[in-house]
Amino acid sequence: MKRKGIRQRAAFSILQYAGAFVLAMVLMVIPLPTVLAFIRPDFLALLLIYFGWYRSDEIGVFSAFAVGLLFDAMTFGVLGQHALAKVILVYSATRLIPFVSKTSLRNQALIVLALLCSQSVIISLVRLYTKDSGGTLILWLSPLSGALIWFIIALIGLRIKQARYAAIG
Amino acid sequence: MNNTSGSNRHRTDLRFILAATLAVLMIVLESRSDLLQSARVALYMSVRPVIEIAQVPSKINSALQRGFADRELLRERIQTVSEENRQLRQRVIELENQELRSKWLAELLEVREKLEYPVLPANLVSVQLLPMTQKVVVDRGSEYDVYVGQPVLDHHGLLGQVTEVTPVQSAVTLITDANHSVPVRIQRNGLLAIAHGLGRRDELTISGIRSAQDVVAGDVLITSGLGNRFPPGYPVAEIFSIEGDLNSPFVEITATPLATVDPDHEVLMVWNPTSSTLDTLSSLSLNETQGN
Repeated sequence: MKRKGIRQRAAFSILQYAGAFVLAMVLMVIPLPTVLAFIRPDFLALLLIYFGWYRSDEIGVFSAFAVGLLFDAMTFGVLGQHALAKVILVYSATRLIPFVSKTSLRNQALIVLALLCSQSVIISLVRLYTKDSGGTLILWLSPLSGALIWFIIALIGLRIKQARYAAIG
Repeated sequence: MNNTSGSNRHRTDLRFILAATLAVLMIVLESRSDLLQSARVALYMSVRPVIEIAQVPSKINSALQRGFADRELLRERIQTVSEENRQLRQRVIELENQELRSKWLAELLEVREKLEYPVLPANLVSVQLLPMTQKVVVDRGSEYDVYVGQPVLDHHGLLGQVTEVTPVQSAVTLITDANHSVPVRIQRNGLLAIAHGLGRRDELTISGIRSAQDVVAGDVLITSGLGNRFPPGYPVAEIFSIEGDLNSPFVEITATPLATVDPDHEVLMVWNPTSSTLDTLSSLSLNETQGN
């Protein structure tokens, strides 16, 4: 009985994660006017950072690898470029957990900015190596919008956590 | 306790090294061979539903726009189309006259143009006009013998070329992609040039024309056929600005692509007889080509 409950909870959790990643992927490829496309935040990276900080026992580098690979296939980019960037991103994020848990939301946003910028550096280097077309400006504008939107993501996460605690009683 | 956290950390480090190495390996393989092509196709097919979901808002938007078009709007549209038709007829007469005049010039350039090539109509599935990377996905793939490098047109001019093929869909890199170049010539006088994409939807830059050469704004650029990738004679862009620099023998020319990316319109995939992949066309029935 207890084991069945645990299994059900795990299945629900996998569905929740899959749903979150699908939503992030949709937001990443949904057609937008050019101006908005330039400042579109990297929702996948933000989600991975969030999970890396608050769900590191369930979402790790292999999940980041899989998500990055699917995104590469989806955008017809060089296979492996986002996988590599996302793996490094999640690994760096998990290493920062002890620091992040004690810091303010504003400092968290600055760390997010640094993480997203490092991801842009990795993708730029891979594109340089593979001689793939740039997307140079978008690579550097999206970390800024990503850091700004981090406040919203952190607040949503906080609300979900509060709702969960309230349900448990 | 410390031992447990230490071993966890060690495990995370190992996983990181493994995943990062795998990703680097894939990048190297991607840049040097086509070994991952089938994996790419499988991965693309698995995320296709996500792409379909992402296209839903734009599809709803176009459906709503179509639904709300009232009779007045339709009447206006009919008037505009009639006017365009009248102008086009006039233009056809002018072009016929021009064709006679320029026949001797074409013979001089020894350009052999064939404008009737087998084509396959296709619909746009998704549009990925990210800045710098300009791609669209069409609903025709290797099942229809679509091949990498195949030219794609719309009813205004050259749209781009196929760069990825899956069984049911293909990715088309537009001529406006920052990595794309097309050999062109000026329709009026046959001057050769190269049209480069800038990663912007409505702009191309033209190189290879010297400041002393005859080029004016409004000149239409057509494919030259050099390199045998694109069949000669298809409209590509119209020059809209020419800027000269005293220190440079070349002029800076920008042009507007004639093809437009409209999810509601069909595009045409062309089989180029000068390309070696023409043999694959034999399996494509004529009915299929014309009927779709």
